[in-house]
Amino acid sequence: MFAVEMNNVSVYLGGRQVLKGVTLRVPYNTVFVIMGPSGSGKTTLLRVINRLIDLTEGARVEGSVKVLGFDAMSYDPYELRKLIGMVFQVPNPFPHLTIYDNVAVAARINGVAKSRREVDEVVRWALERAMLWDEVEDRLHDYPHQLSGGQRQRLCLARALAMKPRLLLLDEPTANIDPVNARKLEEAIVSLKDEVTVVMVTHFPHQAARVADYVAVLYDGRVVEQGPAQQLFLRPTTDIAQKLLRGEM
Amino acid sequence: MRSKRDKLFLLSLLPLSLSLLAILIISIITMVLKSVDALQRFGFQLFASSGWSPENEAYGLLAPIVGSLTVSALAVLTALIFSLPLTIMIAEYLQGIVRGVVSSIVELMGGLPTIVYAVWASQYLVPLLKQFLMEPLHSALPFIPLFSCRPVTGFSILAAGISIGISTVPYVTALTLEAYQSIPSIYREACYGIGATRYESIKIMISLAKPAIVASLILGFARALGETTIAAVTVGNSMYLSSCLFAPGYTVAALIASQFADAYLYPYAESVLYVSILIVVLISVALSFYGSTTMIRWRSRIIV
Repeated sequence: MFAVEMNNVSVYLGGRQVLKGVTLRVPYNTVFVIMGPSGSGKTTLLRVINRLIDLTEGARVEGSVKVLGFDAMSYDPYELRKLIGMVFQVPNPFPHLTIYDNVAVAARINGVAKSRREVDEVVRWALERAMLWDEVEDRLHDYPHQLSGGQRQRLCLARALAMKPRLLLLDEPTANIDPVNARKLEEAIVSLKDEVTVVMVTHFPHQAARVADYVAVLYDGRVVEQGPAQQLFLRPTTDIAQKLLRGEM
Repeated sequence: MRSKRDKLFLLSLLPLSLSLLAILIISIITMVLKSVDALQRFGFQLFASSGWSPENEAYGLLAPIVGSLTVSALAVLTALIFSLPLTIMIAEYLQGIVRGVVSSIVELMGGLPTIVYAVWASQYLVPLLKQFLMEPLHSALPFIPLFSCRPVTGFSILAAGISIGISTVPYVTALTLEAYQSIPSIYREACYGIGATRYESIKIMISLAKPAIVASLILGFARALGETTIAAVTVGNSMYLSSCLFAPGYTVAALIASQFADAYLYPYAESVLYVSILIVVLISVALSFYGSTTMIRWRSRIIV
């Protein structure tokens, strides 16, 4: 059994083929990193998993995608997304909601917590797991624009965790934040895998080496190599993977 | 380096574009100068009474000013009731040709001369409102001051408010739609990302757009304040100040439209009307400024 199982998945965006027969398996409770140069289809791949791809006009998906045992293509997308948290490349906390409410809204929408006390607990738990609690404990009613970019991104992680998801998708979560915050986020990610399966896209090889259990290398819409992280980092078999790991791509 | 021809071209543009600004400034100065006589003669009394009898030199602007504000508030409320669902429909649900057709119809309605709305309202809308809204409200809730009078003709503050509101829908919809669609897609994705249904997502997006929606309504209020034709035809033209929405009243714009032609016959009448114009202009300018700056501030805050 796998958390995500893709078989021969192809995606067309307005006539252009972005994914070309991707097959991959994400084991439960691991950090699975997808690497690849810009434009290789990494983000598209994540969006297939939670069917956010449906929002893109003219997108067409072929092949079979199983997520947490469900057939993602025929399952109700709204129900599916309730099981899957996502953190995006650009930190996107809701600007009109306080820090507290940004996290609470995710818990409420998914029925994770109902009473005020339950919500308080989930908010605290999520902010702790995202390693943000200590910094915002006494300013929960401030707004996100009063936080730094890195804090905003950890707030987004907390928001995703407050759904109590079984799968967490991270789309280059550290691309737009400083190294210190990036490290904190990485720490948080690694500590999460007991509770949730993480699929993360990145193009920093060092970051991948620090957090990954499994790695898949994506190039021009195809998975050119995948396997346990250690094995792949020590002995990449393809030219593309070698270049990517050396940071030459 | 600008060529000589460039400079000449720029110089040729200046007089005409500047003259528009000059016209605005001159007209405000004119209004102020023309108002001085009445303000000196009557002072604050002008805004505290609502008698209107030029023969006896009795002028009061209270009724039309209160009327204008009430009518505009009702208009904005009406516009909101139509504009918000329209915005959500166009932005979230309609697609392709249908969306194009609906948007075009809304735009077309915005371009209609207001006399069209005025005639339609006086012939069809007002009688309907009287029969199906005013009379039922009056019989059901006569103890509420707003509904306390029996609608006689139907031409009233409420009729003017709703009629002007309908004519303002395209304008307010254009503003709210623009604001709603300018919300970066990352927030919509965030909604779906946390497992929101479409309805929940729309709720979050609307609350995100709230300051912009309020700003649109303020701008709509400013526009309704100046609406003349529809007001003159539907408001009932009565200087009597009433707490009841079903009673005929006046708006400043309607007052000017109906009195200005004969104002020269009486001392101070013209000057009093200029005072009323000045009031409306000042309120409109202040509201437009506030609405526009609120919109700009909102935009700068949500765009990352």
